[in-house]
Amino acid sequence: MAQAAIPSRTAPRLAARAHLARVLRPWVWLGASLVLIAGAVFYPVIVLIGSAFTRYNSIGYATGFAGLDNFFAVGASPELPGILWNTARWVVVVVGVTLAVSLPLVQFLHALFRGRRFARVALLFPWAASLVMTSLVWRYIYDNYYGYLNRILLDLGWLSEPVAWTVDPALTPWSLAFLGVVVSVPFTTYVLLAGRQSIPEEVYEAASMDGGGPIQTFFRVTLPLLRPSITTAVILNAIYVFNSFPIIWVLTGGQPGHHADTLVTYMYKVAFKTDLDIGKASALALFNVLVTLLLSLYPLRSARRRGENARADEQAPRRRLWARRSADRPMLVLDIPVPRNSARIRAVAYPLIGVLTGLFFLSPYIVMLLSSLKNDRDLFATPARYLPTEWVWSNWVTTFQNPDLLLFFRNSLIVATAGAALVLLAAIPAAYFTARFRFRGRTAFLYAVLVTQMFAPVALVIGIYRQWQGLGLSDSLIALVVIDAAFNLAFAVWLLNGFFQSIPEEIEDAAKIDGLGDLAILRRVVLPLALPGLVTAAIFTFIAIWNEFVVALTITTTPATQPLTVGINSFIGQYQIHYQSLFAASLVAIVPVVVLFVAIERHLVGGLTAGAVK
Amino acid sequence: MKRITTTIAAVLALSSLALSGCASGGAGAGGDPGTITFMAAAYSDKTQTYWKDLIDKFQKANPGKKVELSVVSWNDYDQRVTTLLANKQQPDVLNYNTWSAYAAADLLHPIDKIVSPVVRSDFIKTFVDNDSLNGTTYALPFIASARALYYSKKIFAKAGVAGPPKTWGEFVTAAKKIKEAGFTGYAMPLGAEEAQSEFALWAYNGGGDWQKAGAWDINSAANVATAQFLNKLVNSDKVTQANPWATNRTDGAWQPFADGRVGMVFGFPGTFGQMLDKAGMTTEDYGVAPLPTKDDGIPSTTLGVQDVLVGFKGDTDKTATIRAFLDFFYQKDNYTKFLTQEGFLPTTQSASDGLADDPVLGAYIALLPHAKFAPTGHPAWTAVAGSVKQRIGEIAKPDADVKAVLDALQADAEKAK
Repeated sequence: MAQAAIPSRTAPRLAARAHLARVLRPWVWLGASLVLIAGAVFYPVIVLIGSAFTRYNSIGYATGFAGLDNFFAVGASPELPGILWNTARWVVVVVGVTLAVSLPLVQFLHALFRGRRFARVALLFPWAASLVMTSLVWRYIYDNYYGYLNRILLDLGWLSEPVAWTVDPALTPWSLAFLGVVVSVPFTTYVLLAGRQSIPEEVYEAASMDGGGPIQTFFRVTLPLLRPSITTAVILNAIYVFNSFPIIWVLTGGQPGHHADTLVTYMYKVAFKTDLDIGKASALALFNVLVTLLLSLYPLRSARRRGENARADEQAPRRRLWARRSADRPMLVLDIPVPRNSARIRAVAYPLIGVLTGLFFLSPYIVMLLSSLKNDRDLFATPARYLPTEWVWSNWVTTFQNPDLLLFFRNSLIVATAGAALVLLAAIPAAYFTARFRFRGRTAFLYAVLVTQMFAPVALVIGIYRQWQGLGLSDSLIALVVIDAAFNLAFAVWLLNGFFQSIPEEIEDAAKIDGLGDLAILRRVVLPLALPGLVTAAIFTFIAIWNEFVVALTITTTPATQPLTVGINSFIGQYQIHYQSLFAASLVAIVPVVVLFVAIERHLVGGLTAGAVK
Repeated sequence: MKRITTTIAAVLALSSLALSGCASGGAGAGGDPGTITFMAAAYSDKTQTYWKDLIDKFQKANPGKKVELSVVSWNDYDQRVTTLLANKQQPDVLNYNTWSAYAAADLLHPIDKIVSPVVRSDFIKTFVDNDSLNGTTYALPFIASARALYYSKKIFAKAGVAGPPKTWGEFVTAAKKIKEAGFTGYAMPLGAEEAQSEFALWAYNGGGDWQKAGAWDINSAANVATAQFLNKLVNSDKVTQANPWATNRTDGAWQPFADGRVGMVFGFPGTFGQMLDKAGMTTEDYGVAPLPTKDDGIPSTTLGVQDVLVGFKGDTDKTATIRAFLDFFYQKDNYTKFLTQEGFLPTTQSASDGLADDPVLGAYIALLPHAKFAPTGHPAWTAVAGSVKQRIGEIAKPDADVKAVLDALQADAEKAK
């Protein structure tokens, strides 16, 4: 059957393709991506590698070649075993629990019920909000004196006395992991949701006719068919979690010892806080990259191999189906048939669960809103006060009287928009070419792109600064746009690559017969079909750049170039965090992203579908 | 295999190139002697505005001179400074809390070059002495602060404590009574934000210090005894808040005091004073007293804290512009405005005289000339203070081996370059 589905290729087409491949060599298609990576990633990475073999004095000056001394120093650190254990636990728990939570959530959000849109949009908040700000509000929520969590649990009678969630060494890892899961679930769920929607409903009809119950169906049908999406979601999430800095730093960075540190926060302390040793920190960073590489290459390879074996029998009909659907988009809502007897329970239970789920993900941002309207006494009252005793609307007025805030906002908009555009411009040809043509260096290119994701940005700041300072562009928006684009290229390339692969070649072949060139096919045939994927890539990149902090902190020095993430840091004084202003500004910073999301939510799910499959 | 070798060789070659790139360069803002860069710390959300206004005024009064300002939050300050220095792109003028390592590396202008003799002679002697290395002064005293014991008169009355304790013995008795009355006896902020200060306040008054005759003395018998005393306060007397090792001053110690939940805390004017004002507390509600000491034989000592301004040498001689700007800043009105806005104590005689009549600041200003400072003049202090901040909190944990913690810090300090 599969054989019949794909028409055998004919000689003229092969010749045409060979001709095209000769004329439009890989370099042309991959050029923009390669220039971006070479221009913004290569130099800082080289500096990092160099630093790992350099001896530094305590003020940060290079004093000579260190050989492997920095690596020995890392190996000899007495705290290293504990940190490795912390890191492993952090990654395994967060990624594992995230997956365990996301799978049922996907089943749930796939079903059609009243209030589903609310739940889906609410789920976006932790993804759309800057991680630094989300971590700050959770620090406030977790506080053992004035935190909301203790207040709620005490009121419910689940606790008899306040608990120090981020302080007690026995509890801290779990409190951190909980937050890690909360902020990872949205991305993972959306990737899986997309994969779930690409499973043809015919499969479920067949399963139901064979008498399979819901649980059986889930394990026998859904899970195996979701596997490619799961691989993608888990690998990407694992890389992000492994390199995640803000959660651990904001919640526990101010505590002594290393009981909460992972490799990334430890590296930061070594470089900038305790040892002030750039060489040792760089060696740690390289070790970090090595671990990430090993972690992600194995599952990637096996996934690819599986995918290629499966292609002949499994993919072909699904592709056809997909092509049919994408032709008459939207392909969104396909509900599982509801057994009659449980229909009434569902009609009540689903909306209720939906609202509760939505509220759960929204709650930190509700806390942000309430806290931004409190006076200091309410803000730090013990136990926490749910509502302000006095609603201080002037907090918002004062916050937005700051003339620089508008500048920060403008800069963020410019950088995120231009950065996302640049990413698409570079990623589209690269992704298309790698999806359609086999050539030497294809796999190397795809992995190289992925490797750019494995460097924790904190590890690269010294090189990044040196490069752009040398170019005389250190305090410029252009530098930010280029760097952010380069470091966010990977997701777009991989996503679009998967997407283009899932577009049936037959359509393009037909266009070719009609005499269209490769570029024309890409523009007139492929891109319109891939619109959901493009939207997804653009949005994801936009968010990533909108929330970027470390690079902007390094590159920009004046309000004229600083984005919001850096700008609102001025509300964190030496002794006091100006929570009210910080939260007010953070909420406003979330708005554009959420509006954008709501506007394209439909496309987003459709878009992630294809990317997740490959 | 050959390709891999070639790749590695290329990477190594490029690395050395990249590194040699940092050998040249110097202080920022290029070669124009009339333009200087100035990096300032955000003490509060008003700091940026203050500097912007001051620079505007300065530039109007000094045509042809320009100051490029960048204000960075304290949270990110160390990272920013390290990044700049590693690239030899340090600003011409830096506001920081440490300077000795830079002086030892001969990166700093002596202050005689960057302020006029009038300003130079106006600084209070204790501060200048503390900012000197081998007889040369390298850092300008910028702001100062000193600590005292704040106690809640209301809680003292409820607990039946007559007055502020003068010795540690009286302190424990008072704290226990306060605890019985249902309050926290003493809030002890040993979190990494500023743990080295909290420890120093106890250590000085326990007869110890960071150094003895220029050598590190962190694990001295006196300091170990002090650490044991603190551990006992937390774990057997249980008169402190929970988890002192994770408590920072503002939200963990001062706010609860301002809320009326804590009987005693070490504080200083400025931020803490503002918090008390905001909470509606007046000197009717709280009192300020000297720090308690281990026994009567030890005089009560406060910790002086100062942040500094330093001028980095560069390829171009910019001292004329730096001097013009800093002289302008230290003019009595400009300087006093900064101090009152941020709530700090002055480091100059003229500003001290101006503030001597202030009801709260006046008392502190009298203490300043006798304050003890952290050994900021020691080139390794930056690194030592960093590891002390990160680790000293461990002494308060249950079952802590306080001697081992101090031994480790001592070993670190001796190793530090």
